[in-house]
Amino acid sequence: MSERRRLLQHLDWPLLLSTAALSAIGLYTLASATYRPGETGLSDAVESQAVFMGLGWVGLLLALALDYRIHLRLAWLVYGGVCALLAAVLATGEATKGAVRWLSLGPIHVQPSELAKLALVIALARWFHERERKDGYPLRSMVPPFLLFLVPISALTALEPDLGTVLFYGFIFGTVAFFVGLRIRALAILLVVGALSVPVAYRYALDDYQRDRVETFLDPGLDPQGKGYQTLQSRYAVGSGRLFGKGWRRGTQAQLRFLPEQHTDFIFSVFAEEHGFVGSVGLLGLYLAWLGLGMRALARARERFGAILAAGIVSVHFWQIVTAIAGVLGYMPVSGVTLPLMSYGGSSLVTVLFATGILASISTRRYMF
Amino acid sequence: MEVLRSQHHIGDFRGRFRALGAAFAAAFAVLGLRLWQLQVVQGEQYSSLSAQNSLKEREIPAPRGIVYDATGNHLAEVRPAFDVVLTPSEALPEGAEPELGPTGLARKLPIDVLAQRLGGLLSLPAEEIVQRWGLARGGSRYRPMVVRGDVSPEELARVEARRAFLPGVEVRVTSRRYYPHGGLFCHLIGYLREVRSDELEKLRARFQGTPFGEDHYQIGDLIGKWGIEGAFEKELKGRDGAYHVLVDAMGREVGRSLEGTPGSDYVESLRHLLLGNNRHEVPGADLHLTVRLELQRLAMDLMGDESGAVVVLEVHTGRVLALVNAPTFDPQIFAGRLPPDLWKKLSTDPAHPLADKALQGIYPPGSTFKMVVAAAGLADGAVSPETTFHCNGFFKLGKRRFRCWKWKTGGHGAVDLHSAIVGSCDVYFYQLGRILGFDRVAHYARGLGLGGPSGIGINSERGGLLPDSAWKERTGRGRWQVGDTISAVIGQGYTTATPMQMAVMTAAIANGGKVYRPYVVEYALDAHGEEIYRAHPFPVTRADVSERHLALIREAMLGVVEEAGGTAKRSRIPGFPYAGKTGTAQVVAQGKGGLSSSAPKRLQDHAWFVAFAPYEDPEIAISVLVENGAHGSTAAAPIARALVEHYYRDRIAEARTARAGAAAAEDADGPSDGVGD
Repeated sequence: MSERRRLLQHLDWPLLLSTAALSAIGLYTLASATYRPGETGLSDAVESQAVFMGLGWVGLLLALALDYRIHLRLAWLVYGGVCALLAAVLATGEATKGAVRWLSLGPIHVQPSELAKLALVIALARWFHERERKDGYPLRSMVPPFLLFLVPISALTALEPDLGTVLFYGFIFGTVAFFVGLRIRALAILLVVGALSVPVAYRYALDDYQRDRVETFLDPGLDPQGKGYQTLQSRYAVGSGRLFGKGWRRGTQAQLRFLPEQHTDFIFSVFAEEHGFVGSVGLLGLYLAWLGLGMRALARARERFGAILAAGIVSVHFWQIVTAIAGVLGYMPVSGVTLPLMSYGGSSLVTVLFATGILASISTRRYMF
Repeated sequence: MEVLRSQHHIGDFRGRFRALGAAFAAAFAVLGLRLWQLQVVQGEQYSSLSAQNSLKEREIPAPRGIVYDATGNHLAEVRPAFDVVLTPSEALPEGAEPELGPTGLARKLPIDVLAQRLGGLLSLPAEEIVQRWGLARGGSRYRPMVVRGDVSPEELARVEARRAFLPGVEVRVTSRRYYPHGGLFCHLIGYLREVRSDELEKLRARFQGTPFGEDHYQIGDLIGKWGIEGAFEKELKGRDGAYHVLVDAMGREVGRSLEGTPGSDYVESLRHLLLGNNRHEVPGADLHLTVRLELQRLAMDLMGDESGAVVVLEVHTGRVLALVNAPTFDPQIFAGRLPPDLWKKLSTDPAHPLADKALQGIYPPGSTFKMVVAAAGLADGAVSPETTFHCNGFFKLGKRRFRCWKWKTGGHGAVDLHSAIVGSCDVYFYQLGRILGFDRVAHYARGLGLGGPSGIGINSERGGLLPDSAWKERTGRGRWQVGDTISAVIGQGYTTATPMQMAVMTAAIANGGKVYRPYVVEYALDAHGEEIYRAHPFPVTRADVSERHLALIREAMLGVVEEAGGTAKRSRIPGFPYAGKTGTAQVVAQGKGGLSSSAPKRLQDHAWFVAFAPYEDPEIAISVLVENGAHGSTAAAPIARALVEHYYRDRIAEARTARAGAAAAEDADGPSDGVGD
C-alpha cells in the first residue's frame, strides 16, 4: 500500500504530460492530414489511430505500474519472440514474392519491425548491463552485441535491401555503445570505417532504385514529376507554411494530396504547412523537451540496467524524430521511419507509448532502492 | 534470480550523458535553422510554387452578342447548351478492374464499361468514345473532354439520372450560337467555325500585348467566318472571364473562386495566393441590323425553289432592308464537325447554296443596263427625249445584223427614249450607243455605282466589270469594236454586275443621283448598353446626270410597269404606282431562233428585275435576280411586286379604300348631277 502511494507521489508528471501533449497533437494533425475539403467528421484513419492511442496509453500505464526490472528478466524471451515474428514476416514475404512489413493477426496488422526497436534495445541493455567494464569497452567486445542487435533487422531487409533501415539501427547502436563507454580509440575507428564504407555500400549494397532515391534527394529538380516529386512537394509544403502557417485543414499541399504519404512519412510536412515556422519550432521544442525528460529519467535511474535501457529508448526516439524530420526537410533521403506519436500506424504508436511507460517507470522508481 | 550485480551511480555516465544531451540539442537546432530557411527566408517563393500546384485558372466563355433585325427580332442568339464531358484521368484502361469507393459504388470504371453505358444513353458508338478517350488521355488528361456537345434535354435527363454510375462524367453548361431562322440569313449573318491551329498562331500574335491578351483565342474556340459574324467578330466575341479552381493532385476540381459555388470559402482563404485575378466575362456586343425579318422571309418564300438573289435598299440612306440568297444552308453545321458527305453535297450543288449571289454573283445586267445608257445619252446631249429611232426588229452594222428582242413581230416601230425603255427596244439603244460610244456610257455608269463594289463590307464583295476601250486594250483583248458597244449597251458582252450593284444603281436613279454605300449594321451596343458603333448614310459618289434627266428615266421606268406596252405590266399594283425595269442576261449565245423554252433549265437566261417604289417620292429600291429564270417579266418582276405590295400594304389598302370610296361617291353623285365623264 505504501509502495503504491509512494509511486503515485513520485509520478513523472512532466514526462506524462508532454507525452499526452504530443499524442494530442498527433491526432490533431492526423485529423487534418486525412481530411478532404468538403468532408465532415473524422476519417477512419483518425478513429483507428485513436483506438491505438488508447491501447498505447493502457500499455504506457502498464509499463509504468510494472517494475521495469521485469524487462531485464524477460529480455531474452522478448528478443526471441520478436525474432520469431520477424522470421514469420520474412516467410510471408518469401511466399508472396514481395516486400512485406505486415503480419496479419486476425483483424489487426502488426508491424514487427516497430516492436523490434524496443525489444532489441532491451536485449542490448541486458547485454551491457551484465558486462560492465570500468575501463571502457574495446572494439572487439562490441562485435557480439552488434550482431545480436543488427542481425534480426538485417535479415528482415534481406528481401528488400534497405540501407536506410540498417543505418538507422546502426546509429542507435552507436549511440548506446557511446553511452555505455566505448573507448575513444574504438569510437574513432568506427567512425572512420563507417565513413569509408558509405561509398562502397552505395556502389555495391544498393539497388538501382535506392541509388535513384539518393540522387533525386541530392537534386530533386532532376525529375520533378517522377522520383524527385515527393521531396519537392514536401519542400513546397513546409516552405509555403511561412511564419504562421495556412491553418488547420487549410494546407493545400496536404489537403489536395500533392504531398504523398501525408499521414505517415510526411506528417511533419503537413504540420509545418499548416502551422508555419512558429508552430514547427514549437513542436520541435516539445519533442526536445520530451527527449530531455527521457534523459532526466535516465539520470534518475538507480541502477545500471535502467540507465542503459533509458539511454536506448531515448536514442531510438531521438533517431526516429531526427530521421523523419530531416527527411521531409530535405536533409536526407526519406526513409520510411515513423515520427513518434505523429505518424499514422498502430504498431509504432503502441511501441513508443509502451517505451515511454518504461521511461516513466524508471523515473518513478528513483527512490526505490 | 539475482538481478542487480551492483548499485549504479549516474556519475559513471555523467560525461557521456552531457555529450549526448548536447548532441540532441545541436541536432534540433540544425532542424530549426532549416525550418527558418525554408519557411521564413524562402517562404514566399515556396508559397507561390505551392499555389501554382493547386490553383488553376478556368475560363468562363463570354456569350456572343445577339444579332437583331430592324424590328427587334433575334436573327442570331445564344442559348444555353449542355455538354456531357468526361475527365480522361477518371477512367481506367480497357478491361481493368473497377475501383470501388467507400459506398460500394465504383469510383473509377474501365473505359469500355463507361463507354458502353454512355453510348447507350447518348446514342453514340461505344468504340468512338473509347477511341476519343485514348486520344484525350495522351494530351491533358485532367482537362474534361467533350463526349457529346449540346445534348438534348432527354439525353441530359438520362445522364443526370445515372450520374452515380458514371464516375468521371459531368454535365457542363455552355452557350451555343443559335440561328432561330435557320438558313434565312445564312449568307448575310455568316457562321462560326472552330479556329484552325494556323489561324490561332496569327490571332495569338495579334492579341499579344493588347488588353485581351494572347489567349483571347484558344484551340476549340469558335470564330466568326463570313457575313456579319466575320466582319463584326471583334464586337460580337466579347471577352472570356476567368475564375480559379482548386484542384487536387489528381486534377480534380475541389472548389471554385466564384461566390456561392462549392468550396469557394476555401478558395477565398487562399486568395492571397492567387496568381491572377478573377475576371468577369464580358458578353459580346449586340448588333442591330437594318434588315427586316418579315421582308426577308417573304423574299425567300417568293424565290421558292429558284436560285438567285434579292436586294432591297432604302434609297435615301443605303440601308439594306432585305438581302436574300437562294438556296440556303444551315449555318449551324459549321460550328461542329462537318460531315464530309454534307460538305461535298453543299460544295458541288449546281445551285451553289454556299455562294453569296447578291454580293459575289456577277451577271450580265441585261436590259436593266438600259437606264444607264439612256441617262448617258441625255446627259451627254446625244439624244433628247424627243429623238426617235426606227426599229424594224433589226439593226444593221456593216454586214452584220443585230436583232431587237421583238424582231419576230417586226420591231417597235418609231421609238423615243421613253418608249425605248418601256418596251425595252434594243435597236434604240444600238443606235444611241453607236452615237455615244461606250466609253461615255461607262463614265455615267460609274457615276451610278457600277464597275466597283458597293462597299457594304462583308463577304469579299465583288464589283462586276464595266468595260471600256482602255480596259480592253490593257487586258490584251484588242481594240474596242463597235460590235462591243452594241452588245454592251444592252447589258451583255463584257459588262457584269452583282444584284447589290444593280440595287444601288436603281436607288441612285430613284433618289436623284446619289450613290449611297449600303449597310446592314445600324448600330451596336456593348454589354453595358453603350453604343459602340453606329452607321451613317454615306454618299460615295454622285451621278453625272441632272435630276431633270433622271426624272425622265424614272418616268419611263414607271411606264414599264404601268403602261400597256410595258414589259412588266403584268406586275403593276393597281392604285400604287411604282417603277421598274426587266432584264434578261444570256447564259449561252443564242442562235437565230433564240433559245427555245424547252431548253434545259441551266441554259435558260437569268431573269432580272430592278424597281423602286413608290414612284412619287421613292423610298425603296429592289433588285431581283433569278438564275435561269428565262424572262425578267415572268420570273423576277412578280417577286418585286409582291415585296412592294407587302412593304406598302397599309398604303395600298388605304389607296384602295379611297378609290372604292371615290367610286361609291361617284355612283351616288352621278344620278343626282346627271353628268358623266
